[in-house]
Amino acid sequence: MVAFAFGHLFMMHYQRAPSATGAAFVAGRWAGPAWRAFDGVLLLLALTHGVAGAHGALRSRVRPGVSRAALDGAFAVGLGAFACLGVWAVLAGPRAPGSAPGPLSGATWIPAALLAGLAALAALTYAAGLAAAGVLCARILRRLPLGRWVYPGQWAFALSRLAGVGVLGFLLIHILDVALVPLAPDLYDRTVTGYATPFLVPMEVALVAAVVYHALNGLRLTTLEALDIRAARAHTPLFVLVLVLTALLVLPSLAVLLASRR
Amino acid sequence: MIFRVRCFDPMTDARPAWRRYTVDAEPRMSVLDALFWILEHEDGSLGFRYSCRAGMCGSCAMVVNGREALACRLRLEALRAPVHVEPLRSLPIIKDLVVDMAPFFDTYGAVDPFYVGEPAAMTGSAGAPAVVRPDSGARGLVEQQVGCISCGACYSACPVVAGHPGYLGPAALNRAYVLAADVRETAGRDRVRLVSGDGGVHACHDVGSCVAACPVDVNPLLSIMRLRKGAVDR
Repeated sequence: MVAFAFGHLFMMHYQRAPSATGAAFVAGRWAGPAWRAFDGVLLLLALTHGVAGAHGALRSRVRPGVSRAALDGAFAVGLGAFACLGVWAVLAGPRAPGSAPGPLSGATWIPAALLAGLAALAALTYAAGLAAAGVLCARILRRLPLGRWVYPGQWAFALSRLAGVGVLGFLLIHILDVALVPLAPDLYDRTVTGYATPFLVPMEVALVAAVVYHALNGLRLTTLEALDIRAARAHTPLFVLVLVLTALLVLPSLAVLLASRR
Repeated sequence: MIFRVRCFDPMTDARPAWRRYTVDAEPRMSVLDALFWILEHEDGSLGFRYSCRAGMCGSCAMVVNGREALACRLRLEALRAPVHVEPLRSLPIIKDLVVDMAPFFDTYGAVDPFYVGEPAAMTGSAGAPAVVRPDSGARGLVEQQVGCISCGACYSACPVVAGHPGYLGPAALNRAYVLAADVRETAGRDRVRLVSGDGGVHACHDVGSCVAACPVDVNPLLSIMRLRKGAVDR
């Protein structure tokens, strides 16, 4: 999944800016079965991984019994629905050139809703990030203890969770917007163009950082399992390495993004 | 030296609050010594646990400047002032720095933390002791893990304990590993199964704070990893 995710990220954020991946680009990419298979496999892997992670994190806080069964059911239905929608979009593919506008082409509220949802998520993310940074700075300046945040592992764990939640949230929106390719390619173009809104640009950078960090941290944990007794000394150095690699790998995508805005 | 202690009296306080004390610090003074000084000179009501005062019993485990530590072994010269002292995390507070260890020992009890074995199964002779030589590979499997003093530091440091109500925690899982990895034990497979369910080894997210927090250099995360790998499944 790491290979699939990095491959997709490279094509969508490094070879070109996301705003250049409209319906025509998707049509060219999905002209053959190989890329459709690639995207289909990536969709199922990423969606299953993300939903399993979110479900696992929430399930532990819910009492066994009716509540947990309801949570399990909701996640199963959600996973099924998004997986079916995504796979259907990949299989249906783009509309043939010159064909009639898609059945949803008149539903201009769809891109507006998707972009509004993303904007709300962005506002929440920016506010939460600023608030967290403010609290952290205040505690450091006032020489108050930082709680469990004195341990590097706490940061690694929390960043991985945040990144996972962020990527899953984006993935669900992405499945909805890609479903517009066979149904209303003009609305898909409008949505993708909307992602380049200045207010959402930091979120695009954050998305790349989240995918890269979450993947590298996962590889770090797999490596630690393999290191066995030697893992104790490797925990923090490997975490620092993951942070450095994440920063380095995000820079090229940022350059592509800024270049596309000129 | 300025000390700020997180105090709470359930009889009078709505929530914990910091109380400031000025300790007349002397060379080689430990945090426990400082707490005794506060008790004698500034606040006769301060509550804290201690017993051996030699780093062996684990009774004085608490959070000092954000990190779990044994108060009797942590010297003031290693700390930056003001020194913040708090009770162990994820455990109900009885008073000030004294916490209710029952939830911690409940998780310990949940892994059947006692040896189950039949020496004759190993030695072939009833009555003969089953020996594990100190320089053997069998001893090496548990060498680092067997020194746990059940102080609760790892339990306090673990964010999964804080967020997952049913999680057994690093200390209990470490104990399960020490027993499951004991070559004389006959309950190995059952023990691994016991800790593989909800709240068991698979709830661990490899955070590693337990390793950093342990005051006696036990590596609970290694135990959990090995249980997960089924390395002791014989």
